[in-house]
Amino acid sequence: MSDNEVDRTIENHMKKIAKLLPNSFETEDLLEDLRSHIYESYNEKVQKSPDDDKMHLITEVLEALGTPEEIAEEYGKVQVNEEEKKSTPDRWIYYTMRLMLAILVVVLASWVVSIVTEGAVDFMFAVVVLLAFAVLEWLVRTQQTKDA
Amino acid sequence: MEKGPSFEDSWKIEIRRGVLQYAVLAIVNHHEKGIHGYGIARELEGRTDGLLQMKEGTLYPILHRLRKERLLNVHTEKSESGPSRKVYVLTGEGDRVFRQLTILVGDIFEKLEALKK
Repeated sequence: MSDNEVDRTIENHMKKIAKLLPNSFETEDLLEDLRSHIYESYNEKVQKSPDDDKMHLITEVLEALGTPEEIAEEYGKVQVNEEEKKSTPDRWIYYTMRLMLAILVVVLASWVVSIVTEGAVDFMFAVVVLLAFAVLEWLVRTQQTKDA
Repeated sequence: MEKGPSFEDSWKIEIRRGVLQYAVLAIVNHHEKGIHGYGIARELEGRTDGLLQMKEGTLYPILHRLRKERLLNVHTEKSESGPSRKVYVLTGEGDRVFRQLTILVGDIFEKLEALKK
């Protein structure tokens, strides 16, 4: 089995895991960790048993890693625990603080834009546009959280 | 009718899940300069005689959670064997939580021993 085939086997496994996880930055991070783990484990096995069939070695690595379902299940459990933790009064304080901070950043950024362009960009217009972007970003994030 | 896991097996899974986060903190604490995920998996298997052995991929959601809780910090280093890898180190808060949990775990085992007598 060539190195290309090993790479293909790894990528196929990664795709199966990715399909079961939400499409988010966190998932990308997790997949990066898993890919790195697979290569570490595989290369260690190749060093220990250079004469063994590479297909056999990569199969062993993927078996030890767990099935995509097992990994997704653990990921789901961690997410549920985090959601439960967020369901406290602190959550409202956190959201209020974030909202205040977002408004402050929008106002400051609009003011800077208005000053830098010497009034060519109207302050209120900049506030409205930046607020629209902030709301859009929030909607995307909310959708990602729901998918999780 | 399909038979589910025995009471004993379910109990083992639950208790393993419970102590795993503590075990990960203990291993990271043992490595002042940090340790990567693969190293943690190897130590979990080797230093617990397989008692806390798990499917290695399920370790990463746990590491991510500990990072989110700000108990672990992470930096990236180049790996000779493939893509760059993350190295995990205990934060100040992680160190405090680990010490607290160590006391709690000690107390729990002491009380359980007393219950057996």
